[in-house]
Amino acid sequence: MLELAGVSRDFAGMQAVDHVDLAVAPGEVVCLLGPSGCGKTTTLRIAAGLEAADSGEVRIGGKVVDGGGAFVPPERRRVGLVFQDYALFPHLTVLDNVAFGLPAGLDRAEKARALLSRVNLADRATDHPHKLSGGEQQRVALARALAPSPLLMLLDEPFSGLNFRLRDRIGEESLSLLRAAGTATLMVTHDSDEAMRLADRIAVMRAGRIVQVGRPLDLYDRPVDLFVAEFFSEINKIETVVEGGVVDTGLGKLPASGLANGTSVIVAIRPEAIRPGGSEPAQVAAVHPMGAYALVKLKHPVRDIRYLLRVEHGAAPEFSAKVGARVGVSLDPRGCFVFASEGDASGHAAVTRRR
Amino acid sequence: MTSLADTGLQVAKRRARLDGWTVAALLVAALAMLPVAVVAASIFVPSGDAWSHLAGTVLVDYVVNTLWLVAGVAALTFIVGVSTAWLVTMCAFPGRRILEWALVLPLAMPAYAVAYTYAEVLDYSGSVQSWLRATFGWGRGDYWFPEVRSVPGAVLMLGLVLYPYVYMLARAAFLSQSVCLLEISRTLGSGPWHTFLRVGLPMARPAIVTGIVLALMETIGDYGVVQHFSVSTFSTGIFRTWYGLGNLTAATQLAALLLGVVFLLLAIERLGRGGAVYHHTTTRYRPLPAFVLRGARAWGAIAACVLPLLLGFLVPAGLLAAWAAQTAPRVVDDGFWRDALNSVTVAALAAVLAVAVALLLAFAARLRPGPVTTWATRLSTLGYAVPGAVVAVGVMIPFGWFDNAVDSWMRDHVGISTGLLLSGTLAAMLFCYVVRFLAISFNAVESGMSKITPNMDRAARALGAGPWAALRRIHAPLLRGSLLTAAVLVFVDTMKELPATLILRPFNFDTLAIRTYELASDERLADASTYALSIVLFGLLPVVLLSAAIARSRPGHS
Repeated sequence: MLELAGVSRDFAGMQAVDHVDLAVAPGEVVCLLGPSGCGKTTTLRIAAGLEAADSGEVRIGGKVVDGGGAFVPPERRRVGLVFQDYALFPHLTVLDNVAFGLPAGLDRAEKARALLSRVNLADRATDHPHKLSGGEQQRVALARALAPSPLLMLLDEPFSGLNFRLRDRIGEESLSLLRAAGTATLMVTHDSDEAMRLADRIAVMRAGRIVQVGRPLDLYDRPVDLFVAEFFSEINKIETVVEGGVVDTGLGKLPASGLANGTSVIVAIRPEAIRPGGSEPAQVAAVHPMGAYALVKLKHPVRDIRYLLRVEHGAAPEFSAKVGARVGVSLDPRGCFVFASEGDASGHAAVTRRR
Repeated sequence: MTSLADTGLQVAKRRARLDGWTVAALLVAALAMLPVAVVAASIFVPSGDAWSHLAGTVLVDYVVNTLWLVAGVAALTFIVGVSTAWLVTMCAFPGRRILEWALVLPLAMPAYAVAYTYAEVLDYSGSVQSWLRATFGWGRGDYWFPEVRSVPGAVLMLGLVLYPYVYMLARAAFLSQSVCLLEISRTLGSGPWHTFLRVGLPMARPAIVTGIVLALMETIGDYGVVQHFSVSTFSTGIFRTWYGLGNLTAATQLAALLLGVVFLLLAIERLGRGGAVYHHTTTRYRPLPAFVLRGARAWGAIAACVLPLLLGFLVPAGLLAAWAAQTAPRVVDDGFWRDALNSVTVAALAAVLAVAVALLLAFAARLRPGPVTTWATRLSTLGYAVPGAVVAVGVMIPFGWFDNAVDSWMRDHVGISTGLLLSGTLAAMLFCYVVRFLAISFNAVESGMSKITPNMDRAARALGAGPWAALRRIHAPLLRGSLLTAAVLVFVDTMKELPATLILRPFNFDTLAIRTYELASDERLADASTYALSIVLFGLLPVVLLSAAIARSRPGHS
């Protein structure tokens, strides 16, 4: 439904969006995930027609709306937009807000009312927006955006204004509504948990480029670089060098497939990939009980390496018994990734692929 | 815990007590209301047949002309003010940066100065018509030319210098609107023009209504323009009835009717705002979108913004300057400097007084919050809505009573005549100015005060600063800018004020405004130009301040 092809945009010499390719199918929810300033909101605004692309092409419903000299203004793109702060019109009632995008006609109020019922707000129709709670405002904003039956729904951090308990529920309700309507949805967020939970596919952005696109678990299990790996969980980073086709993590050796001997690498190990019990020796350095689990810091008995892992509450009592205790662990290779470091002294290895 | 609750209780108890601050606020309110009350009460005084004479003859003219003026100025200021504000705020075109602040310039022009200038140029004997006759060989009656000394002419003059009120408030409102709202409207199928009509304009409505009402207050209070154009309104009626017919009571009753119009306008403003100071549903701002205008559209936008600036400021100021350049050597003599000194002295005194009283009110409202001080401040600042001539009449009458009473008592008991103590002195003038301009200084002081949160006071106190130290180290530095703004605004408004000054000035006491008026009345416009231009130059001061304030008013907007 939405296709971005080689879309670029720069602001005063800064490349905000750099050759972005992305497609969203009808009924699909794609999350643009990245840190602030990575260009995800600009990408969304280009899709909406609130910004023009410098180069590349934007197609909605197969029709070119931006590129090759054409530019369709936002009001004729059939897109819905929901902002983080909802941006409800303060001078209009809830009903009039929802009816805003509907063509004038006898059934206009009817349609708006029907939409309000779908978000369970029929009884607030005559209120002004400031009387509504955050969650209610969010639902009005969604109903308003849905009213003109958009082909594409664009959500800019739509749930981050809500408190975290409400966020889960409203997020799921909203997206199931959109999936049911068959609307293609592009959602911008900086919250990896939210993206993981809500998206069909996630596109991770960094410095204007899409680093990796895929289903949530594919990204989690097969990150293309340290940046993506780090985005979804805390991570252990071990700098080392490939020797004899393997890398030594201090907790066992891992194959360094495709990397020549002598290459400087960063091994990224997810905390849950370090399992209590096993033959690799380590020493408890610190324990932080979190309730359901404890965050345990280990140190290598000889080398200066520290590891973070999670231990289920009550699962391995020797890990939380006392600092300095000697324990044994094993490594699950599925949560370990080896990336060649690009001479980046900060350890922020970036194995980015130019697209 | 208990100690905290106790303190709260003490504060509540203290509020209810009548103390120095509350009494002071009430006293200010009573004094400020005095002229209005006197005028309003006059409708109960029988005035003999002068009133029935008025009602039978000119009163209809007064009402009809005043209504036309109000309707015309409202329409003109709305169209010019809102369209220019929207263009410079939301569109990008060459010259926008300059126009942004230049559009406020006509505010520096007293309406009467613009009227004198245009009347001089556009009259039958003026240079434009003379040139037409000379060029085309026309004689009297051979051609049609719009009569500038007419109701439409007066509407145009007043509209040209008063539209900045609407412009400034509308622009501030547009600037404070979140762009997100406009963008949402776009994605919901409204083009730029519909977005303006359905979102931008309705959200700015309260500000626009307030701006128009401010312009209308000035319109109904105007004396210089309508007098020069021989348009009979309430203002000219008050003067004519008093000075022409010598009937102070009937003049006061006319003033009372005018007061009725004012309260009608205030009611309209309340209604127009609909009680809605729109709660911003969003707090996110990004740089304004700037619909980029090119080609014909850009030229159209430039023309729409330059025209009011040209007609409201550049042309009249240019003409005044040209005439002044010729006549100044002759006009600027000891008399001129004396008048200028009078103007500056009176305006400075009024400014200091108005700011001091405003500070008193603002502190009373802050230290003793509650219905009493709220109402006291509200009543005290009502004078801005009351035309200068009305306030002047309302000052004249009680001050006259007072002087007569003192005088007769002194003659009876002491055997000396005290003569005029208050009326016909600077005291009456200053009192009138403070009543009229207190709202201006109060608003400026209060907006400065509102930036000092109560927690800053508390933090200062917790850090060991006593109340006076807090005043000196926290309030004074933070308020300095606001106080200066307040003083400058009152200073310039006093300088421009004509009708009240005409009524209340001591015998043989001339100011720049009075001399401008007198010379223009004698059709000696070339001589008046230097005086008028001096007022304009002083008038530029607050315009600079205001422009800077608007530019700063948007978060994250440089």
